[in-house]
Amino acid sequence: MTMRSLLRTIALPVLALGLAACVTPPEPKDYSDFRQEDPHSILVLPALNNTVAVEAPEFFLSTISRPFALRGYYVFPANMVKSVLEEDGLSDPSLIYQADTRRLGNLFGCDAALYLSIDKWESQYVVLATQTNVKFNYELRSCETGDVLWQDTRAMSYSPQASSSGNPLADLLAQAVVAAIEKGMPNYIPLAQQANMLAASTVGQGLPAGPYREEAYKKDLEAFPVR
Amino acid sequence: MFEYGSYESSLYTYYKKPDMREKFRTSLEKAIEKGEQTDRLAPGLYAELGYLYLQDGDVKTATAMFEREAAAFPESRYFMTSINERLGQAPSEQSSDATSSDEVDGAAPADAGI
Repeated sequence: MTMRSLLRTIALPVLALGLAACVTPPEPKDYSDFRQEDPHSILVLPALNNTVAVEAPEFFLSTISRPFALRGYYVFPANMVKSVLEEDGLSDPSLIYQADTRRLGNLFGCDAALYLSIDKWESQYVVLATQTNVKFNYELRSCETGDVLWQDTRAMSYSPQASSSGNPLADLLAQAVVAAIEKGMPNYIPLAQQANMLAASTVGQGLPAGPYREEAYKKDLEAFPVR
Repeated sequence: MFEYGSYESSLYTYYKKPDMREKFRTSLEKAIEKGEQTDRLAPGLYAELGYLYLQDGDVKTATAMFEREAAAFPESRYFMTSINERLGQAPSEQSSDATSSDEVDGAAPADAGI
């Protein structure tokens, strides 16, 4: 056996190990407080916008209800809730986010409220490539006690690549075109949808099955453990 | 499990272009119809639809929608009942004459106490 092939046999498993370490799922969260509270309904609040994209909160709001409802919860009508809060002089989410969560309980009768922040919502063009980035923070608080029951953060990126044609000049042109298209109409919504789906339903990280998912409700203690 | 139809995309379009409000309404109606047929009605849709009627000044239809939301999803009963009370119409005793938009404007923005 030559030195080189020996090295290769050693190197490959090490590399594979390294890769495996990268995809190891994070430790499941502790669901003690969540299980204790056992919320049946979620009030989705308009998101706090920590970016310069003024349109981000409304666009984000349109993507948030479904993934959380699909975990088995009653999700309050997001657009109606937003409008009712605005009518009540609370169009600035920071006012809501500073207030006691229990007051939301008094107003809406929710079991839990989902506090959201948009921390990235940007599309950057750098030499023939456009990268679109989003980052969100999710925090579920009890409407009864105000305690945080669950928290998650998701960041997603997308950079379109033109397929290779074998002609370098044509490829360059095609890449310039896809980058320009992405810059003109960034794919924020698919990224937000992916982020929300991952936040809500990743095993051990998202929300345990709620009462509208009868087949799994209170039967997923292994995936969403209490420590 | 829940039938949302095109709720997400039509709400997005409505936020992007407010003149697409009728398309949002139609999407809600379709999603509700499909959800009722398949017994997979999604939470919040009756209420979202009711709210559009309320903005149009049709208190009667709005109240009826809020009642349907409360009947389909007990989790919403507290909120729906309090909205209907704020509209001056106790649930399940609808009157047919309180439909002027002036009354809506007067009734809706009560103090929330937050």
